[in-house]
Amino acid sequence: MKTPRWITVLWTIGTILILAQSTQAHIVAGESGGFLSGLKHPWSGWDHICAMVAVGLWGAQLGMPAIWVLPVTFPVIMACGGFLGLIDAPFPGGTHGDEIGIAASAILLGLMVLLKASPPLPLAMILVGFFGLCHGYAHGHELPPGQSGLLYSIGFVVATGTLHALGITIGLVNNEWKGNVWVPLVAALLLAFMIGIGFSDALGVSGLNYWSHAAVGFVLASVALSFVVLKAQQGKGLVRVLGGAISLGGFIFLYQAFSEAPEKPATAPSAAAFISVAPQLSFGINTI
Amino acid sequence: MLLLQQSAQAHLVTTGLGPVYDGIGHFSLSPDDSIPVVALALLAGLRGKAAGRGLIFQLPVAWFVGGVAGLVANRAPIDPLRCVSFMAIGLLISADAPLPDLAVMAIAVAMGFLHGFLDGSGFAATGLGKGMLELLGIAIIIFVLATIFSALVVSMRQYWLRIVVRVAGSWIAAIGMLMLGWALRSAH
Repeated sequence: MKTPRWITVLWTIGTILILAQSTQAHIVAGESGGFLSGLKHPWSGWDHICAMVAVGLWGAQLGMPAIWVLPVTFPVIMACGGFLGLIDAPFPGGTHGDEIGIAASAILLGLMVLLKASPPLPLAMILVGFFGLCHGYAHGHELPPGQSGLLYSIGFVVATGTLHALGITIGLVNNEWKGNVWVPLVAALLLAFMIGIGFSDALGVSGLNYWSHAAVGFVLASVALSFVVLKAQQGKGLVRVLGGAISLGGFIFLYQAFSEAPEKPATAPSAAAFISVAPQLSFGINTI
Repeated sequence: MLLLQQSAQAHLVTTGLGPVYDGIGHFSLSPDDSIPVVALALLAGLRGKAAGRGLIFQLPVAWFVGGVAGLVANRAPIDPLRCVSFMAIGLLISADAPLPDLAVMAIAVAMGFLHGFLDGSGFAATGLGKGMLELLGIAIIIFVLATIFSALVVSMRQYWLRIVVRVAGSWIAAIGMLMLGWALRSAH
């Protein structure tokens, strides 16, 4: 079933609006901090971002009904994992079991996108659900004390859904907007804005650690690779290239999980937005 | 709306416009009250006009009756029940469960009574008379919200719009599951 173009427009605008970050001149305190903390938490690690975007990408690739069934499966099972993490239930594989599962999720889900795999829907749901459990457990284990549980949960689930929406948006844009210059131009402006925030972030507002630098560098390299592939394929296969980049990025997370690094990659939502708009920018340059 | 929401507050919001508006204000700023009402409206809307019509009258009444019972009893039931109600309704919405109208009504009455009881217990300190007026305000806003949202869903003809509602249901279920984890963690 072909998706109407206006739905794609609304979806894209909605995603961009939800992605907008508030200014952070002060620390948000009190009850609203629960919602904002929850909203930011899924953005707190590249491993989470990559896997969740990959779920959306894969859903968009598979089409109906996977385009909505997979992004529904993930948060529900993730919440089950979050529940287990919150009550400190033991997780298979010891203390790093969930981290290894998260890294594996980026690798395998990225591979699914790269290979454009089309397993039966229940199998895809099981795969996505299992990884959702790993992500949820890690989140549940890391939740900060003293926040409003309800507001935190709302923010957390909304942010997760937004990350899926990112992946779906890329897929829809990829399907519907080939040859149209406006979307890539808007995306380019957004990209410039986000890069600006990213630089200020790197200059010390919140600080980027080694892993984030590596991840950002890797994404830049992936985008450069996308240009080459796009030139060769006239815009075809972009989503698959992105899936490959996510899958390869998963190996960084896997290495990190095994190396027992003390810190996770720092928050870099601007770089995540970079991932989302880079394909459109590539299309724009390719089209123009 | 999400940014405007405040966490559950056992005490009332004072609007300066009287107890009825205080009740409306309390409800509007309490996502643990407003989300289940919206969720029930989505569920009833998915099931059609008859379920929607039943909901808009029975839910406010059940809420009010539960509230009065809470005012009198002045004893809040176990809080995880609230989380379970989120999960149950969310899952029913996401599954687009083909419930008969009677079942939707039964769920609405049970939910309304439970949440009303929680509200009433919180209002007990304000006194029976004032508390009842506040509950009346809550019942009014519930009627308005339930009518708008159930009618919105009933009017949705396109397949993908129903999917949006089901996705919202899955989010509500996920929120309920996380809330339950929080409640159990806090209890330890």
